[in-house]
Amino acid sequence: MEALLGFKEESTDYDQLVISKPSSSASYSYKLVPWLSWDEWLFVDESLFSISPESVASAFRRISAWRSRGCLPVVIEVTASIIEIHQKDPHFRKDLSNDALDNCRADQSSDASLSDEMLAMLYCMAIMRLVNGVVEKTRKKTEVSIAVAADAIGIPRTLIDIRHEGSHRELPALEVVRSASVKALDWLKYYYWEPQKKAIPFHGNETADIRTEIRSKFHELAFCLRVKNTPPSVSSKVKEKRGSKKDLTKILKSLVGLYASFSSEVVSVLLEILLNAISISDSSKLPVNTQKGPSLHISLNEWKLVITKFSNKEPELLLALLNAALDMIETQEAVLFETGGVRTSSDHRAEILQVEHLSSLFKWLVGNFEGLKPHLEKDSAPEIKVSSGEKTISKAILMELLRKCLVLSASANNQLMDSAVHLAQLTGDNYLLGKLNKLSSLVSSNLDVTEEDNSLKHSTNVFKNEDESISEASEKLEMIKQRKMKSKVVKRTDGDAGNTNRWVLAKSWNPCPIGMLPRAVGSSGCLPVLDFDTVPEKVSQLLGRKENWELNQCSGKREASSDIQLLDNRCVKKLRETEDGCVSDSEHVLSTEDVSGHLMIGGVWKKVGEEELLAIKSAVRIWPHTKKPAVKIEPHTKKSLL
Amino acid sequence: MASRSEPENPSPNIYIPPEWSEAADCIAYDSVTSPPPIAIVCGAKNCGKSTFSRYLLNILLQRYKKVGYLDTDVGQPEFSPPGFLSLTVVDEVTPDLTIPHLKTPERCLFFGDVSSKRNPTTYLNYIFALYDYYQKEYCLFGKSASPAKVGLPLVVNTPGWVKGVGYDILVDMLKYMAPTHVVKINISAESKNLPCGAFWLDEDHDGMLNLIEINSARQDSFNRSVLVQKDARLLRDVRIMAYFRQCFSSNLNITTIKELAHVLASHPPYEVPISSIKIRHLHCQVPGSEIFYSLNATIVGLAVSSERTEDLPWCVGLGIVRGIDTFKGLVYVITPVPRGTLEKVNLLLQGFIQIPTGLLQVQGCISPYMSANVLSAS
Repeated sequence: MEALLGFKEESTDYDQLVISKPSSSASYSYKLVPWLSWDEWLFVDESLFSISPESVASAFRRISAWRSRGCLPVVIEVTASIIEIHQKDPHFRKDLSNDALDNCRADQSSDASLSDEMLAMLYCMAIMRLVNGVVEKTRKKTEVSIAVAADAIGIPRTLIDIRHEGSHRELPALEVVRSASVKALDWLKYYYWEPQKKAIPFHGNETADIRTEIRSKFHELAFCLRVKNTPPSVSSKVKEKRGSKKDLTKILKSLVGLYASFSSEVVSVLLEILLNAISISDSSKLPVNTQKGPSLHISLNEWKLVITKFSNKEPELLLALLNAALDMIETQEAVLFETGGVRTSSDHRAEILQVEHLSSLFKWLVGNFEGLKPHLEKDSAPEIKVSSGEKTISKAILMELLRKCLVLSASANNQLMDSAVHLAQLTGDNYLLGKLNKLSSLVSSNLDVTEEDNSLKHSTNVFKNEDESISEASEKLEMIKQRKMKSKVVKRTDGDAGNTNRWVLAKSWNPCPIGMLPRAVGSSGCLPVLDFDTVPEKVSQLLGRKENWELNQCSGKREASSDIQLLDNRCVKKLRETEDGCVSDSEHVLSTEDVSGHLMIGGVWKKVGEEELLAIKSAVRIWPHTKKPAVKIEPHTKKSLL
Repeated sequence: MASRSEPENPSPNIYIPPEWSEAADCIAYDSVTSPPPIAIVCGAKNCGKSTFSRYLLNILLQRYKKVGYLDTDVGQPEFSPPGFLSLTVVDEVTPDLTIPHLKTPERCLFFGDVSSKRNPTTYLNYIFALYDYYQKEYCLFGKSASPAKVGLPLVVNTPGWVKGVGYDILVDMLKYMAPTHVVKINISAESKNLPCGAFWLDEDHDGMLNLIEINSARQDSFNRSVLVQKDARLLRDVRIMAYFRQCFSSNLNITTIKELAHVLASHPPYEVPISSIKIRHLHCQVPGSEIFYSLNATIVGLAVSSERTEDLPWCVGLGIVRGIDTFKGLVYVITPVPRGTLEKVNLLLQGFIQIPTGLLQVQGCISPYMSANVLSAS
């Protein structure tokens, strides 16, 4: 067996099919489930027992998707069956309110044909499947009788009797099976739905609880590292708590686990912690008091270690942290900009201080972490990599970050400017670096002016000037990038030109779990959105009329009515929501994340027609840095529209 | 077997009894070449049908350049991963009889389950379609073809489901193909065997018939032929993993399931626009709003649907839908099928071929469909 096809896996490891998570608090094991996340399960739980027929119907739909995956737990299947039968049973319909009754009247007429015998048969079958299905799973070898096994898990005796009667004797009366079905549902809730709901980690907790959990884990990690790095003599007090390596990995694991489900919370908590650390070190420039015994205060340097440890496990963290910091600066600045005149000066000062702290934090992050160094073009040769190659950030992402940083640094933010220069250094692009250095000196000379004259009115003028110089600079930056990317772009469009190909090898791919989509950095992946309505309308139309579509696609024959649709199929419109501050309708830095023919409008992806596209194009202007533009139009848009 | 210059027996664990070699020789040599022999091998589970079929293939290859192999065992096919029905043209001897080898079939159809019981009618239609294809391409050379052309002999391996519906299916298959030889392998437990004689024929039948009854090769200390117990599920998972192992160069050192799972998670997949493919579930009704919930992280058959609706969609291989990006409108598929062949694929067939859980558990990269905190009750 082992020799079979060259797989020498230790068969024990595989036979179990369930691996236990090492060194975790509970003895978890992994099981194949049909749902993508517990949220999906909770959605079904809630909808299935809802009084709204629409909700119940949506639960049924999801359950049929689960069934099609082949690993639907029998308890879920039977719960759905019983509820579906209840919907067909006039007895339960009477209980509905008049409104709901009206809603269902349409399909009720068809159900009316179900005789009492047929209803009883349906109930009976559901109950038989429940008893057999559940008992089979739990029945021990020693328990010969089903009744004994059923008793062990508390299935009501009525259900066992109905199973027996239904299989071997007369079909039980409708009244009997109907009331038994209610008991069955109650038992299923008691036996499966409620305990399973309780077993879901963090379920029912408010976000605040999760944040507290995350915060305490970070502190644990920090202390653990501190203890580890302090010579034993000093830390005699905490000797018994000496963080062993095991503890450390345990804490790290749970943090990584938290990050997997609550990445944004983890990032924001960490940012909060770091800001706090910065403001403390800022306000008390007095002799450092951390040496006075094991104080609760954790210095920035200690956090550095924490972040290093964590981002070794979860390389995306650093990038997320940087992005979060920039986003926060951006919102703060927007607030400053808009309410500048109205707010009291103390508020104002606090906000300015906040921005300062954020900027210095950003600078500190950029300056201190090696993880940001871009890796050189990863060779696509499939090798088993010891994941070291996957931990670094690609140059394109770094550029994106740099651009964002640069745009924000427009508001005379020296530290961000420095960070931008540092980022440019990391990209290893000397030409870019030179340009940025010049820009930086320009900004700082402007800064001198600002510092001389502190009046707010004056500084807004300066801001305006800077805006201009910055947008000029960003444009230049764009041009530089274009030049850099040009060779690639040419290659790409060549490829696209002959591209009637359906099947294309993904150009860049970060490892991620099967069933997830890759993140920019790291291998944790992100959960996909699988709702059908997020998919372009045309797809649903196409799925509806297969044959027509095929005719269009293959033979190229055009029906007048389907012209526009055909256009949509054929043309790869590359529209994309972006975060940067400029729009270019000439060649542009290509991203692999193009969305064909769709536009994010108000948070929803919408199909965009040719005319709309042109209208948008003409309406697009370069915005000052505080506002985000709606679209960027990719280079081959025009081409492909022809 | 020793009589002919058979290559050294490279699979010492396999014992070919004299009875078996006589039967194989009879089919290969005591038959006319036109029409070529068509042999169906049948018998209960684990009695050695596949081993005999492999052996028979090798013997036939001594007389014929090429031999057709129609595999109707969807649970454990010979040359393809589970869930497939296929016709393979074999032109070289398989030296090792212990191991099933993956080969690219001439034609295959994706049934999408490991047993015919889910849909016997479709199952039979698929087999008939493959048999018709064989007849058309390899037996009935039109009048224009050179008369010197020799038809291709065919070996048909059948599933071990020989009772109830399984028996009915087997009878339908035998009637449809009207083979020149039927090899029936018996085991000692009489009750598990197929009925004696030409059980599939009506009483008034009087055509040519070669029924060869042999006994299972495995025997216990009492000289009774016994069944070889196999862990069918494990075998299937290993076949599926071996199939996806082909995504990588053979000189890449992948020896364990863990390593394979790891390289698969890192492997750049093919991306295909959702709008340019159709998605169909073979055994389930999936509501339109749920197709991606149903499709994500499953194994699919990659098929080519033809313009004519009555034609069955020929399949070119298996893929893992490793991700779906509904915003970009892309489906990401991992498959060892070469790009050129893939280009024709416009249909993803979902079935119940479950992705081996070993492939979903990668250290630090565990699929969301492998969940912790699941109540054991479920």
